[in-house]
This record gives sequence, structure tokens and C-alpha cells, in this order.
Amino acid sequence: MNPLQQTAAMTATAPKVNFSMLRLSRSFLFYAALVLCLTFFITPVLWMVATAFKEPGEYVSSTPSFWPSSLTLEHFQALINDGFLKRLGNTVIVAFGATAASIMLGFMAAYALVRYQFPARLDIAFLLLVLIVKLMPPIVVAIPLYGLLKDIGLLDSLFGLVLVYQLYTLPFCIWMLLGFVRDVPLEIEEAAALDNANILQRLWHIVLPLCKPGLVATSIFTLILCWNEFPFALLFLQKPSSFTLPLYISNFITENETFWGQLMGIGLLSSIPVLLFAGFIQKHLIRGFSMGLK
Amino acid sequence: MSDLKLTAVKKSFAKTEIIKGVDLDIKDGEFIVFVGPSGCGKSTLLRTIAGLEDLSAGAIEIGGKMVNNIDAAKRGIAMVFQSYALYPHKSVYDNMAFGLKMNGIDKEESAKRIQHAAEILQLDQLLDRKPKQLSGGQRQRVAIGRAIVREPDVFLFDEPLSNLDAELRVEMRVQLTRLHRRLNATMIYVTHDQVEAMTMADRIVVLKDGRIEQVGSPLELYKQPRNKFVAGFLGSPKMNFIDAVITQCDCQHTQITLPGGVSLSVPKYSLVAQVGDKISLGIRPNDLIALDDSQSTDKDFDIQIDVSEHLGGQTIAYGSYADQSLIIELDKDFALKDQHQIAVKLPVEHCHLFASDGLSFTAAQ
Repeated sequence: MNPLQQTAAMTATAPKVNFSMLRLSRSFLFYAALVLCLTFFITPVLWMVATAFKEPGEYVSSTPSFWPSSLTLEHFQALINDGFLKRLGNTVIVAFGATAASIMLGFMAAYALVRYQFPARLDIAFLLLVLIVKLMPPIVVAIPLYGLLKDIGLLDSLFGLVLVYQLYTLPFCIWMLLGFVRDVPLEIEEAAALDNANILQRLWHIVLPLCKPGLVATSIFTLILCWNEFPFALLFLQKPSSFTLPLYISNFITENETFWGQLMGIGLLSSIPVLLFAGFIQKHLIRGFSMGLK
Repeated sequence: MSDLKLTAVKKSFAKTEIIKGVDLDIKDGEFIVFVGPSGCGKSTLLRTIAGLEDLSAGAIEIGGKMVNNIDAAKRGIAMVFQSYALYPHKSVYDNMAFGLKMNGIDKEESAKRIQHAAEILQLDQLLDRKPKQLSGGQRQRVAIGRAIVREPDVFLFDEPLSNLDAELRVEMRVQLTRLHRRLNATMIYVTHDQVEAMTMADRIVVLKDGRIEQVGSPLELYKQPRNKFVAGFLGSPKMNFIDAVITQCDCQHTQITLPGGVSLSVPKYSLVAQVGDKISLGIRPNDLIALDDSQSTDKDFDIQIDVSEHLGGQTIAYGSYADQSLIIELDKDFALKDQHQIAVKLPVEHCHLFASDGLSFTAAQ
């Protein structure tokens, strides 16, 4: 190898070493940051799971341990005896009911706003108006809603709370679904119209399946919003038997004592239905049905 | 009967008039092509016929029946969209079956029709696939299949080949022509590609700014364009236009002078033409006669060539004469000189004359 070739070979290999070192240290930093983030978010969850299985004395000891020294199911037992399942049922009814209503109405509203022409920009005005409902502090709408529910005799009823949650989550649903409906090419609907499909058939057979990813994403978020909602439930539900889980949980923090075991037990149990729901429908989140065809 | 009649059809969007009064008779079984530049209203006219747009004025009759107020689905038409508009979540079979199901056709009959259409379009092996698993050409065939199974009176095609590559476009063009012969149905086809128009149509409707410029068979439009727009729009490469001045005219011939001083007597006339009028002489690139050295004494003028395209069978040369751009089609054996100057002759029998308002002069009898 002549000197020229040697120099060329050196310059060719030298940066390679540097690059691979740089790449290695970069990926190390990346994974370290990832682990840090994950630890930050997952520690409270692990702590919740661990505490739910701890003996009552263990989590209030002066030397608390992260993992339980012995496992117990007594908090779960106490919760079930205390009527946890009834409250879980209430929450399921309210959260799923309100989500279903919000998604259905939100989808139809979004469709109308995208496909129909409104005079004097009424569609924009409507969109801003529904957003205001969401932007206002809940207490501002709570007072008129209280009066309304009282007048129609739905105060202290799950159905009343479904209506309130539906009202509260509808703006979110409309805004979320707007983009997804807009993504459905008009020509596909026109083709369906030429195929003699009326508006409801078009919505059911064409638009709805094409908006499935959007509907799934929106319903997960709406469900979580309803599932965890506290202030409205506190204001509109009075009978303990009608309580939803967030209200029920608050019972375990008293002036004298915080029942950490039961509190964490509810936390764990009430997360499961939402996780199951999200896990079950997340496969529909994959986008691309209506996209990539043009 | 699936003839179609448009009477004074107008269409406006807000205050903008897109279709400005179109009258047209389409015979049963005819293949009509709407052609024109972008924004001329051809797609709007097609969508109005389909019933996807409401008429602003005028009347549309299909099979002798006024359809102005009849729903798109009840007009007996099927449409193939530019983007194919296939239902992405349904299989090829279900895409074709959807319209039949919506029209209350039983499953057995549907299956029979779909099978038949799949055979015609060679889609037999693809019936279970989703549109995203198909190539552009296959999607296009599915879109056509979806139209066929409905057995419509009139087929409407809205630039169906514009998303395909050049090779596939030629192939599909031939397939569509075959399909028309096989089904013998009335078809209206929208395109901005004049080659598609020339090769497929029984009759071409040339549109510009929402009005019909000319209707006729491809050759009729090519040989006797009614105005300068039609002459320039149809034919590839496009017609050359050279400014000219009338020096003498009678009811048989028009004597003109070209910018370089060349004088010609063209067997075309106009009753309103006057001596001194500025007009345009039109000549197609393939009608210009290129002369070699031995014939150069017969030349009318020289073209200074700047670019030439060798296509194998022929050569297209681009150049100018007296500051006017000209295109000439040369035989593949024609030897381009070094200085790129070609002596040409204008065969007067192939020359077209257009008045300043664009209207064509009449051919002498």
C-alpha cells in the first residue's frame, strides 16, 4: 500500500470509529432517559399495587417498605363487603352511557358540520360555542345544571349524571371527530349515494367504519374523563348507593384516618375496566382505512 | 333507450357561473368525450348529469324522461370517479355488491352479475382483496366493475385514467373502448387529455369556459375545427399559428401575407373578411412539408430550429420563423442540417384561417 492509499484508508476508517462511539453513547443516553421517565411514571402505579396488598399496619409504619412483606386480600374483601361492586356498576353505567351518547351525538354533529353548508358561518359559531362549555370552570355550568336536573326530577339519579357527563364531554367529542370525518373523501360518499344508499345507510356502512380509528380514540378519552369525574358527581348525587367510584373513594379519606389499603385497592380495581376497554379496542386505532387511496 | 338530452343547462356556484348554457343530444350507445382545459366545467357538467350537483337552469332528459328533480341513484347512471372512490374497508366483491344490496337485488343475482363483471375485467382472482392491496390499474377496473354490475343506462367517467402511469393509461384506454363495444351502453367520458378524446370518442364535445365550442367526430374536429381554440386544443403536437394579413379575398380564396413577406392564396373564405384584416394561419406540424436541398427552391420560408426530439418513428422539431414559434414533424430519415435551418413549404390545402375573433374560415367548395 503506497502512502497515499494509507492516508486514504486512515481517513476512511477514523471517522467510522468516532461515529459508532457517538451512536453508542447517544443510544445509551436515550435509553437512560427512557428508563428515568418510565420510573417516574410507573412508581406511583407500582406503589398503588403494592399498598393494596399490604397489611394495614405496614403502610403506616415509621419504616415503610415499597413491597409488601406479606400479601393480604383483606382490603379487597372489605371493599366488596362495603358495596364496591354496586359503585363500580354505577360508574360503568354512567361512564359508558355518557360515552356512548357523546360519541353518537358528537359523530353526527361533526358529520353535519363537515358536510353541510351553514349560512352566516353558523357552523364556526356553533363550534366556538360548544368549546366555551368546555373552557368554563365546571362550577359555572354546575349551578344551572343543578337547577335543570332538579326541575326535570333527575337529580340524584344515574341517568341525570349520564346527561350531565354527555353535555360536558360532547364538545371534546365534536372537536376530536371533526378531523376524522373530514378525512373521509367526499367522492366515496358520493359513490355510495349513486349506489342508492340514503344518508343513514351512508353513515352506517361508509362513514362510520372509515372513522373507526377516530371513534375509538375519542371514546377512550371520553370514557376516562367520565370514569374519573368528581365535582359533578359530588354535586348531583346524594344517595351513597348511587355514588360513582371517585365519590366512593373520597369516603376513605376521613378527618381521622386515611384508609390507604382500601384506597389503593379501589385504585387498582377501578383501573382494570378502563384498561380492559382500551386494550380491547386499541387494535382499531390503526389509521389508514380512508387514507392512502388517492 | 338510454339517449340523453341537455337543454340550456346552467350551473352556478354562489355567484360564479360555471356552466353557461349547454345544449347537447347524446344518442343511445354513443361514446361521448367531454374535453377541455382545466376549469372549463367538464367535470361539473358530468356531475350535474349524474345528479351530484343541482341544476341552476335548464333540463336534463335520460331516455326521454326529465330527471332534473330525480335523485342521483334513481337516474339509471353509474359513475367512475377520478380517485376511484372505492370503499376502502370493503373487499372488491363487497365494493361491487354494495350498490346491488342497496338497490334490493338478491344475493344470487348479485353474485351472478359480479362474477360476470369480474370475468370481463379479469378481476376473478382479486375478489377477496381490499382496495389497498390492489395496484392503480386494478383499482380502476374495480371501479368500472362496480359501475357495470349496476347495469346502468348511462356510464359516466370522470377522468378515470388520470391517476395511472402512461403505459397503463394506454392499456386501460383500449380496454374501455372494448368494454364500450361489448356493452354497447351510452358512455360519457371526461378528460383533459386530447389523445384520450381522439382515440376513444364517437363524438367529442370541446368545452371552454362553461360553453360548448364544438361537437363532432374526432376527425371532423381535427380536420374542420370551428375556431382557433378547438384547432389548438386537438392534435398533438398542437397546431402552429402564424400571424397574417389579408391582401385580397373573394368567395373562394383568401390571399394573405405572412410576416416574412410570403404571400399565399388559401382556398378558404369568410363572408365578413376584409382586405387588411389581421388573421391567423393555422397549420398542423405534420402538414408542414420539410424540403431537402434539391427542393429548396419551392420553399415558402425557413424555420430556425432550436430543439429537436427524436422519437424513433419521427422527429419533432421546435423552432421559429419571423419571431413566431413553430413546430414541425419530420420523417425519421430527414437529416437535420448543422445550422438547424429547415426550408419548408406550406401546403395551402391544409392551411386553416382564423379571424381575429377566433372563428374559422369556411373551406371553398
